[in-house]
Amino acid sequence: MFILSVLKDTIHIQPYDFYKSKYDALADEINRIYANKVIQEVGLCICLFDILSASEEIVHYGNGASYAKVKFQLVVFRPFIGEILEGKVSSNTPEGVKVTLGYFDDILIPTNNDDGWRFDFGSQVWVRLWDNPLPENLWKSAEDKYLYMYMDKDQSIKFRVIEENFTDIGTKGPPPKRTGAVAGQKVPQPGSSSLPSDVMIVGNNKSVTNIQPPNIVNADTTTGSNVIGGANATSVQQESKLLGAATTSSTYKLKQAPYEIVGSIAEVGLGLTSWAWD
Amino acid sequence: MQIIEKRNAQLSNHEVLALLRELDEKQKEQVRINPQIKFAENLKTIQFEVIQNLTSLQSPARTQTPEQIESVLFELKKYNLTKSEKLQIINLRPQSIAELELIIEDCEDRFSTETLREMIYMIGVNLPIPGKVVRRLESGNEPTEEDEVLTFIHYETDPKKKNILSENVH
Repeated sequence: MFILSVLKDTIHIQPYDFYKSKYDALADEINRIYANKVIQEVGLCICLFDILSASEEIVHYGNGASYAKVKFQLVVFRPFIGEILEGKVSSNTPEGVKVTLGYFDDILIPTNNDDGWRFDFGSQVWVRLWDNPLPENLWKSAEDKYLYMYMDKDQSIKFRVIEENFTDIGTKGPPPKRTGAVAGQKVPQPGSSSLPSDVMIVGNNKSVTNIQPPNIVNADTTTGSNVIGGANATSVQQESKLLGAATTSSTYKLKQAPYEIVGSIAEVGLGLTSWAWD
Repeated sequence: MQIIEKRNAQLSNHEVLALLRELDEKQKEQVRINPQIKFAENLKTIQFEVIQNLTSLQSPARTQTPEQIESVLFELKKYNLTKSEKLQIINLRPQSIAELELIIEDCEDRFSTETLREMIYMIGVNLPIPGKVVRRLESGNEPTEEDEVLTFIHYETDPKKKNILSENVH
């Protein structure tokens, strides 16, 4: 689930941080830049693990800050393909069941790629169908052909990671405000941020929601789900109406997630943990 | 920014939790010295959310200790498991054969049901769930209705019975 990644970056230390030891100043700065951020093809950064090496600090003309080239290890959330994770059902959407881990929300279990799913209109949740192990002569009705697993909200669920998608959604503004300054000191403007204008960092962990009228829904703005395509935007709209999801008829919310995990529960032992498997 | 190595090492949930708790303690100490101090909001957010997730009731990392993990890894040596399989056993603490089969690749070809039962029992002993006692059913005994079929182990909730049950454990 969690890995260590080695990165190299030029880190600034602002003059008001000079009272800290070099390690603390660098660690605070690295955490400020990277914590809770997704790096393309790396994963969701949690926090600094260790600093491996740091160069001499250099002060440039016209700027009081010192610069150091630092090689460090980050704790990164990046489950490998095939790993089993446990999360909670956060919502049921037209594309499938959304699962959250608390700190990572962009997990989708698609329901359109196999026949083992049914939508329950009464309770507005997806239902996973499992073949009933009982022989046919013991069924009380035709409904007993399957066992029904209801994807109710907040149920704990186990799934296998089958796919991961990184989407470059561009840099969303500067990194969060510096908070190291003691009260009374002037906080530098975001323009002086030490974040290189690198497209690798693609904004905050949580996905951004764009609201667009349905007629300009384009294929290139989808987040890798199979349901939405440019041509069938209207059918999506109809579907979302049918499902009574949190969408209104005039707007359809498109989500752009920098890092998305696709899961599957199509195996014995996966699915809601409240089920007793034997 | 330059990425030197994407996947340098894998961390268990317990290690991440320990690291974040340490960070939390350090921050509390700094606040005690200087109440004015503020920390980056993104760091506080992810720190809080990960700690909350890893200390939730279902999370095995909540109660694990380094000694327990060491002993489990020592016992797992003889089964020739891959690194990621061992990691997932520690992270998920499987309690039934169905759960173990998910984690281990080609499980049916590599291990017999008997070995898997053995493994489940060993995991139950070395990564205990607080307040529950693991008991192995004597071989030949049919599992009673209360017992989980096929797992051949049973998690008891009553600590008073511990002494009687420990006699059953080989």
